Amino acid sequence: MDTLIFGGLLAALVVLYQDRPRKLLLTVWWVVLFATVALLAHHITSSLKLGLSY
Amino acid sequence: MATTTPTPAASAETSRPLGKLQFWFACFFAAGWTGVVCGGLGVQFISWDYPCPLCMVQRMFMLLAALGAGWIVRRGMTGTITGRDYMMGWGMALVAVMAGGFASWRQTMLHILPGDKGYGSPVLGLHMYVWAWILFMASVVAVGIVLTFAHLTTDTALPSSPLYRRAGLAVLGFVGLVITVNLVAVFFLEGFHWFLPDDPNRYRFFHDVGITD
Repeated sequence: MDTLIFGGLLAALVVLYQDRPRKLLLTVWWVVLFATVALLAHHITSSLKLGLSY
Repeated sequence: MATTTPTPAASAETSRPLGKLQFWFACFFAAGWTGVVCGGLGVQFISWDYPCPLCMVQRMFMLLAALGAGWIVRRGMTGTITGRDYMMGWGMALVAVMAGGFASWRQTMLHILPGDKGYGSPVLGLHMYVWAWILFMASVVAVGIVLTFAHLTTDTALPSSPLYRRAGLAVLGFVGLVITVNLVAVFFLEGFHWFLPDDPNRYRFFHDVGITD
């Protein structure tokens, strides 16, 4: 997943550099962003347990 | 919308002394976040720390923010940056730094209880994810300040000097190089698996193909 996301970042940069339509750049960028948020959610596996009972 | 996207001809008449500032700030912003990711790579390969999954997520958000500013840089290379270009670029950057700020805050909170030594080695007295949170929040403020002075700093027509194109090429090349290095590094770290382990202790690709134990 991490590898694919960095691949998506590189693809977004290529689209940006080639000056393609902004809709295409925004589509790629938002897909990568949501994939990163999903990856973050996957790695959040517990509550923070920040109560004052330690 | 028409008032925010004047034509180059119209904007040339209203060129201001500080009108190029947002282009240069976008260059600084994109190169700056890419430089921060370089700091993470430095710790990874010089101190030989294995980045954790949340560290990698923060790098992704940093580079997404850099791409937002990179859009403004790219438009500047053409000589014309419209109002909607500035807004789109800074909007992308803001979304990315807020998401990154949440990720770094979350990681900081995981290690805030007394006795917890944190993940990885501290840099200048603070752990990497704490620095990341500070920089993400500072970026929100910086973009906010830049936007409040948009009436002074957002010329739509930039000079035809090759300086702008060379600067833009250098910034986008730097971003591309660092994304590529991360792509290769994380592939070796992750191997043929969907996710990184919570506490990586080796480059799994080399283990998977039998090069290392």
